[in-house]
Amino acid sequence: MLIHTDKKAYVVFSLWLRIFHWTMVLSVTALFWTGLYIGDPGFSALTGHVEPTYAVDAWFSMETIRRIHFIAGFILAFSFIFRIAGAIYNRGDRLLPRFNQKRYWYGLRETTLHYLMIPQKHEHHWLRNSLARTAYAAVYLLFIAEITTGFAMYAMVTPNSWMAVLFSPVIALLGGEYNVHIVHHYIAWCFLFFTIVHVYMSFREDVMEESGEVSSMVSGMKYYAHDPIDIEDLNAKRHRGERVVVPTGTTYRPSNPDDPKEKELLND
Amino acid sequence: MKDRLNSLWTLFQERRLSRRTFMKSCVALTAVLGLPPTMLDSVVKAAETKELPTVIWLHGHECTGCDESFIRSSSPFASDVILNMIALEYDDTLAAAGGAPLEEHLHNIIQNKSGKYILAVEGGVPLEENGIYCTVGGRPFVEVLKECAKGAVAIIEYGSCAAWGGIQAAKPNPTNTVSVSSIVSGKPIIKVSGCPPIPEVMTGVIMHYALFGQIPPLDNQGRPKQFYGNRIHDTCYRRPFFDSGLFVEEFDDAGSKAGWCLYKVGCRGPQTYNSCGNLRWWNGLSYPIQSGHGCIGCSEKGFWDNDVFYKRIPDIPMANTITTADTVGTVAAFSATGAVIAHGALTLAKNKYDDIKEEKRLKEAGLWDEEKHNNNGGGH
Repeated sequence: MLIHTDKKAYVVFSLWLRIFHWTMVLSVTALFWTGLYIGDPGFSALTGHVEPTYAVDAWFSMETIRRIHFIAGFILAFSFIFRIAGAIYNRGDRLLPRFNQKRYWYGLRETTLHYLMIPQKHEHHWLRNSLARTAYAAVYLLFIAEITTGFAMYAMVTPNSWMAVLFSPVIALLGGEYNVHIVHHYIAWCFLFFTIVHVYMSFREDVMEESGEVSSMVSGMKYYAHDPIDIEDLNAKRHRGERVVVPTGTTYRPSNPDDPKEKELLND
Repeated sequence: MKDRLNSLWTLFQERRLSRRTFMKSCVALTAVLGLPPTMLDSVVKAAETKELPTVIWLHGHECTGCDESFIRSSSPFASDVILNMIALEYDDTLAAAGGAPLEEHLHNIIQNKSGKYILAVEGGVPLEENGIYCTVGGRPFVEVLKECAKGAVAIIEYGSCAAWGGIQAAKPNPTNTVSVSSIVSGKPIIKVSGCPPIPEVMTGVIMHYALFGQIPPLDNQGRPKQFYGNRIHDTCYRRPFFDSGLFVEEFDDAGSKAGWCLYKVGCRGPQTYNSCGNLRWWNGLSYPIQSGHGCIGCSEKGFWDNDVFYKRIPDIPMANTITTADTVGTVAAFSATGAVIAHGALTLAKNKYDDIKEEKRLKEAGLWDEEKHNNNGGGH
């Protein structure tokens, strides 16, 4: 591998995002495994005890597991809300696809070919590529669906509470609470697949590009030799009148000054 | 027709029943309606002053099981409801009369009491082939329903057939049976779902309307909150076994004999809203879970398609086998992990190959610089 020795550090993720990224990781992990247990519990089958006494004393009774699930659910919901709120203030925390940009559609093709290992003339550096952006958008939608279905079921213990008023329309929308359970259960599995691919892609990026992808979720820094093509996510165009925080050393240095495609996409 | 006020209190007086008996009936009625004791005053006032309602009761695409349930109501007795508390002008399964005279009577009532009667409907409405799959008095039920609904002041959908379409609407729904509310609009509609509904709930809803002249508070699926506000699971006497994690695994195991929670054998209590857990059936005698069988969720929309009733999550039919989401998920997760590892290995291999090719090219061109290009031994 040819090594780039002159890489610059870019401050990408805010501390706020990093904190809530990891609270979400922990709560989703807890939610997934307790959720599987709730779907197919088995105290007496697991322990061999067939008397209620043991079950009531056991720390992993259905009640305890359910309580962990609910607490983790609240942590996830608030982490998600805080995470979204943070993106309003920090440009670098915005990971969503920009469908109105030509660059997004171009990147979709480029990155797909890249992962299929089909050689291309020139490949660009991305802060976050179009496929990643699309996956994040999808996982946000899944989070919204999972949180609303979860709270719809949870809130109906007290049907006249404000929570039930807020979330129970979901039950009517899905045509009954049975469907809410099933949808909640199916979506849970989707998070496992997202996690597998997400972790792999992060490590792959880290190894192949040496951009500090994995450590960036702790330190907030990524390393590039040239400005990524979507540097605008960190360094706003001023004429849009947005609040601009310019990280040091992010004046644009094209990776290939003669590439017309890059020039075109940059001015997008 | 009659000059006197046809109220509940008038009826008690005519039968020479004491004020005390009347008050006791009102207390019982308040409890059955699911109202708090503080509402007793309103119930008494309503029972003294409200005209008892005229009711037309239609039967559509159904098994008349709701009738069987209704006539077993014990507080109030169905006979009291029919003979004393409401003016039931038409009910083709309970009427002594029949045939053309009864249909003629229905016609007269619709004309004379237009805008004043309650329409109670049992059964779904088949629409396929112009509704020919269910005919009453020689006419498609859908026509009869539309005609009767026009002058109704409120509509009660008795049973899951009227409320959601019912068993005959199960996939693929050959007769295209739909609920009453998909045919009729612009009227207040109360869904009293269940297959059948609890008898006391059926009489309770009609008495609520009779006394207060307005439909009870409804949940967001249109069912009266006082009877369909809580999940059976949250009111179940077997709930402590659920919380402790003691479950029936099979229908003849020790847990089932000990009366443990039926969650794992597919009980739909956790997703079903009804009063079975607190009112129970046949004057509080029992209910399905108490008799050792899981709830099948008969008061929920589309329950008939949520099979298998003895499993928590539905089967997913695959080639040559039947499986569930958990198995599919586990297999898919291992496959995804395998795919990811393979992709990673392939990436590294391709990268190594590219490096060797590049090194060869540079060496041939005489541009190879050991110091610059080959740090870390040429790879990672």
